[in-house]
Amino acid sequence: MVAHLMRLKLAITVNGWKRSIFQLVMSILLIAYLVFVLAAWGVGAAFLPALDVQWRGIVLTLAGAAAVLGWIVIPVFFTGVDMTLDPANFATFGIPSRTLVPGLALAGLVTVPGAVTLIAYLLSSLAWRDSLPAVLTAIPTAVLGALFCICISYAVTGLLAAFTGQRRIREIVSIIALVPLMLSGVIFAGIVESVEAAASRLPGIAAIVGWTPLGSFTAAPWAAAEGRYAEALGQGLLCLVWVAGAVWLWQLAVNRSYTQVRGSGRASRGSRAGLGLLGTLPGTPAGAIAARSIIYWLKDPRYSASLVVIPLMLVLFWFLGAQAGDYLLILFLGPITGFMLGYAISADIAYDSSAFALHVTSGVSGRDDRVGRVGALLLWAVPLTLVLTLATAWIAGAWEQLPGLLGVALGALLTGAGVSAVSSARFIYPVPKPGDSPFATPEGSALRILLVSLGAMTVIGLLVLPELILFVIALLTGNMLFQWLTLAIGLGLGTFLLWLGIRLGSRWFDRAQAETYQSVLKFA
Amino acid sequence: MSLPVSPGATHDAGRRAPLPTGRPDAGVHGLPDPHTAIAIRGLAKRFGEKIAVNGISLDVPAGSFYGLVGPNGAGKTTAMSMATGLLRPDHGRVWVHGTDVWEEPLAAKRRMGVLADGVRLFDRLTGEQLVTYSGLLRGPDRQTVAERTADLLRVMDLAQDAGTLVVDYSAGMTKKVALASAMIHAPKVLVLDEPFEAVDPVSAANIRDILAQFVASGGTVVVSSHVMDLVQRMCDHVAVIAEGNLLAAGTVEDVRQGQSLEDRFVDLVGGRSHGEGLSWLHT
Repeated sequence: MVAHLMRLKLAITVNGWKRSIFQLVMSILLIAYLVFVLAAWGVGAAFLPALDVQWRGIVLTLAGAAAVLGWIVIPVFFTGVDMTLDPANFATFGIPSRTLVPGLALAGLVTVPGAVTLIAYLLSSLAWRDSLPAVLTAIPTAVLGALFCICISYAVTGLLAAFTGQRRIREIVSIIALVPLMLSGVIFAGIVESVEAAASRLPGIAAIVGWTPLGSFTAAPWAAAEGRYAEALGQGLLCLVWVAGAVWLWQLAVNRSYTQVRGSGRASRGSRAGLGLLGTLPGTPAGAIAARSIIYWLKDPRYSASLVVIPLMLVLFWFLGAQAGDYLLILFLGPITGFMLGYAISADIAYDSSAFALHVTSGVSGRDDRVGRVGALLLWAVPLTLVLTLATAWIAGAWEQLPGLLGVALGALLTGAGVSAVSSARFIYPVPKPGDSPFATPEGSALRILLVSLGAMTVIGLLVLPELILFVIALLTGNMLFQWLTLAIGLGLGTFLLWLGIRLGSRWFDRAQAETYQSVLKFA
Repeated sequence: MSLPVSPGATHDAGRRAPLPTGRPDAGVHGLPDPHTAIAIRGLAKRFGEKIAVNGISLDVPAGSFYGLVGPNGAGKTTAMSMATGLLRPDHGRVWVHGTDVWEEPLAAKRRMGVLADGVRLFDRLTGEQLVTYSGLLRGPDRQTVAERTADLLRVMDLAQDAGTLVVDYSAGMTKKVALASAMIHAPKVLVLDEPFEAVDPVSAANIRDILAQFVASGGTVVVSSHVMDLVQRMCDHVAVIAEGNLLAAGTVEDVRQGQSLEDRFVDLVGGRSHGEGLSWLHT
């Protein structure tokens, strides 16, 4: 069974490469990068014996804990898990989850992140090469650690997906789950006031972490190296318990998804009748598209998640300011919000998925489509950015900086919207599908998404340079003239770039509507 | 078998057959009559090595109820996508009432209502919002859209669920709301890819009635389907497509030549396996 599943996983990966050269190239780049990272980690671990045993143990225990945390947090919030071997796909084969789950776990070792984790764990045993008992402990716990990472990651995402099967609950959970993550900085800052205090606490923290699922995989060799063999044995046994527990949780998730019929959940009756915004905005194609976009901002978690982030950032910056005693940091919030919101619709058509067919078969013109989508954003994003910038200036008591701040914030918003008007028509890349599990990511697309979004952000960054430079001059010279110049240039240049973006985007949209639709379809 | 197999047809998998470049209007001669609802000339599309549609020429007369039948992977959806502006053809042209789909897309698309198969809808809208949305996209004024939306939801039996999000609709309801979205702008031609899939018999009968009324009032309907019985009962014209080639086209009576459409279809397309089958399956 295990060999079977591993072969299946490899075959799927190779077939993916055959289908798209681009994916192959991306995979090669990714693997090259990871090999480099692993090599760096290996060299680092090989030099660790220069440290005394206690610090080695602390470093490795905390690094191990970070790895486990990463495996839990990153899939839930950022990438989703690789669902090529989704247990639900095996539902019809009648394989008991008792056989399936261990098989999937071992097959997980041949995935890129699985293999990297295993190798990294094994490499870190190099740090114990001066102590034979430690090495002998490190190697088996390394394997167990990698397995635990894979199992706990699938267990957590699986349980979240299975027990929040109903669409609306699932969507709310995925948004609420962002809160602790956003505030983790605040929480951390609350626990650790200063670096020195932290350093003196680290040994204690590491010793405790060593007895939890986060750290015992890397703490066991530490105990062995210090000659605390009983503790090493205890932690080693705990490792087995953790792995068994993770497998059990994963089985629970699989059983649940076996028995639960896939679907969007029960229909909820009695929702609000009427047209909502569609009846309020102008009854033109552009007006309808704008209304639909705003409805999506509210109802589609893929959009609304980015809205939740804004108040959270406000709290975060305010808290940091309260700790530091001055609130200058909070002034960044306006420009950051403008930038983020402008960039937010850069994959709008990709988010439509194949529903975009309606725009194509209706013969929507590029102008209507672009104006509708960008208009929907600006309709609320301009007031929001304005209010937020005013609020931050008030909190920080920095009224002289207000014109410049507004210039940069609105400039970034308008410029970002202009760039998005082009990029959403021009560059289609895989995005989470409508109504998909928020924890699933399109296969083999992470690097591509990163490249396109990095490109778009760089372009926006370059285009807002004029107002940014003026604002810096204003800050350095303290001359109010430059503050007002920043505002003027921010608004003027931003509006021009927005107009240009809509124009270029419309032209592309009209010319390549069918091609755009086909590339959306490829990822749908 | 008496019908000619078109020259490009090949059953050798992997052989790279040339695309028909010589005469794009082979088969049907001359430029199309504007009274023809959909005129297709030499339509062809290749995906890599695979020729999905191999030079199809076809006239769909105005006021006809046209069935498009063919086995899975025959090229029905590809051909329909090219006729409706969703997929740019490699060769050939398509006219909708005399307007070239690829040269004057906006004008041609205004005359068509399209139900594409396997396509998502904007399902975070309620049924009423979705139909209104697709109406407003095409341009009629708000008043007209509102009246027609109410009418369409009523005949589709969706009035009660007008305020429910489309994502919470069943498969059949989704199909019906998609159909309503395709009809909201009172098109002259309806192009429907698999409109009866996943629709329960009662809804299917209702949809059939609506389509029949539409045809009776002068509209044209093109449907693709696997269900031969349905096509034979419902349609007056039929075209048979297999492996990207048009095998037969005309009135249902002409094409079926006295047989049932299903038998005639199997004759044309071939591929019935005779013999023992799965002997181990018999207990």
